[in-house]
Amino acid sequence: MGRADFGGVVAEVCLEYLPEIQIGEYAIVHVGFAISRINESEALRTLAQFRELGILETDFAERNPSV
Amino acid sequence: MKHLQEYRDGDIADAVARSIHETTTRSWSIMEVCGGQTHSIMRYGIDQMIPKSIRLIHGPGCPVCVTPVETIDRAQMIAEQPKVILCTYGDMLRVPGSRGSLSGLKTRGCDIRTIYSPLQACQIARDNPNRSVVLFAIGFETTAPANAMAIKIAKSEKLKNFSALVSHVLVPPAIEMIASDPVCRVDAFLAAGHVCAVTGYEAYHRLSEMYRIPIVVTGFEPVDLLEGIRLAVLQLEKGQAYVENAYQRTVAADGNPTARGVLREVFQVTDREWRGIGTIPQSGFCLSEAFRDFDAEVRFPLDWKSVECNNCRAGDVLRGILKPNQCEEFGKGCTPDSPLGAPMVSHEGACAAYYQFSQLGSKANAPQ
Repeated sequence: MGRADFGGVVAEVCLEYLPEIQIGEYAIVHVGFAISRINESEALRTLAQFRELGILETDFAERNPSV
Repeated sequence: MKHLQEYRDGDIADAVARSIHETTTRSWSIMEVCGGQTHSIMRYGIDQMIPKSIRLIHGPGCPVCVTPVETIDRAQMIAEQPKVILCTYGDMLRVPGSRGSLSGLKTRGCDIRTIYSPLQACQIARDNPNRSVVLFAIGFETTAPANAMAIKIAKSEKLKNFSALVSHVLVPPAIEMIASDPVCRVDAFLAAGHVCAVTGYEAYHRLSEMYRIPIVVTGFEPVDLLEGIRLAVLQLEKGQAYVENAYQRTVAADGNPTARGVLREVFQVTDREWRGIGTIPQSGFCLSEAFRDFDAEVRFPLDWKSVECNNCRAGDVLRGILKPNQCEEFGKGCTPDSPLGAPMVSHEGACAAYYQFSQLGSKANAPQ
């Protein structure tokens, strides 16, 4: 078991299905079980693609420099 | 929370929606399979942001909604047995069976406990050795690994007072049922991201090829949903049909192999009845031989014939034939406070989504 911070509420989460997860990483948690690690580089890559495809004129980081 | 802000960003959502408008030249019907996605679509007014020629059809991905009435009746009859504690997810409490709901039984004194995680059922069994604890194990592939783990723990700890009433359902056979229907009106599917987080999406390649239909693995935030729709429309406009992953930050092609391994150990695939739809071959999980001793249906053999007995048209809603607000009972004889059917109860039910968000759903409500 591990402890996860759900935007301020900390609860116990079963990590049996995600034994490789590290402290500080993000995961999808369903009925008390972490089932998938959120891949940060993929999250950023999808957003970057919007710019590459011309869907966005500027990327998110440029418009929200504090993020 | 990290990455949520970007995927809820109104400007990015607008930009992706504009791209869909620029791409679309024809009418397309796209089914989002998952009820959680239906709720996001209604909540954020995604259906208002896309071209009018793209119709979103809401699919059967609400586990509470498709749990057969017989199973709900059985859960109630088990809860009425002496010394039983029935553990259920909260969504299930108010779903009508043919003899009322679990919630009604609870007010009449049956020991029915709402759990957040199935591991709580294991703890209740440890704490109450003289009571019989039954886990009402429903859900799609997202929930199945959690229930499987609880059952596995019960076996390894020899919790003889623990059993599970299993009624799990699987997404790919439901997609196949819809895609193979000769009057199928679905041009593309958005596959449920959190189901695929467990199962991966290898099983979808055969479906996409066989039925010449695009399947896009999609997440739940506004930008995720719009990106899923954008990729589906791109394929449709080009006359292509393949499996695409628009939820790469969460879903790997092979899903979660550890979870899939435990599913194979604890469950086996079986034919399953879907409420309002009928029996779909090989569309559910039951306990495997090795775990049959923990089957509540074996432990509590009950003879009962269930009947559906009201005007609920949930089956038509679940098959995408009827929009919730096209039902005569919607908002009149059927509301979340007094539901005729499960889709008005569940937080993944399409009727509840329409009821809750029908006053919203405009672009003005898109998240910032």
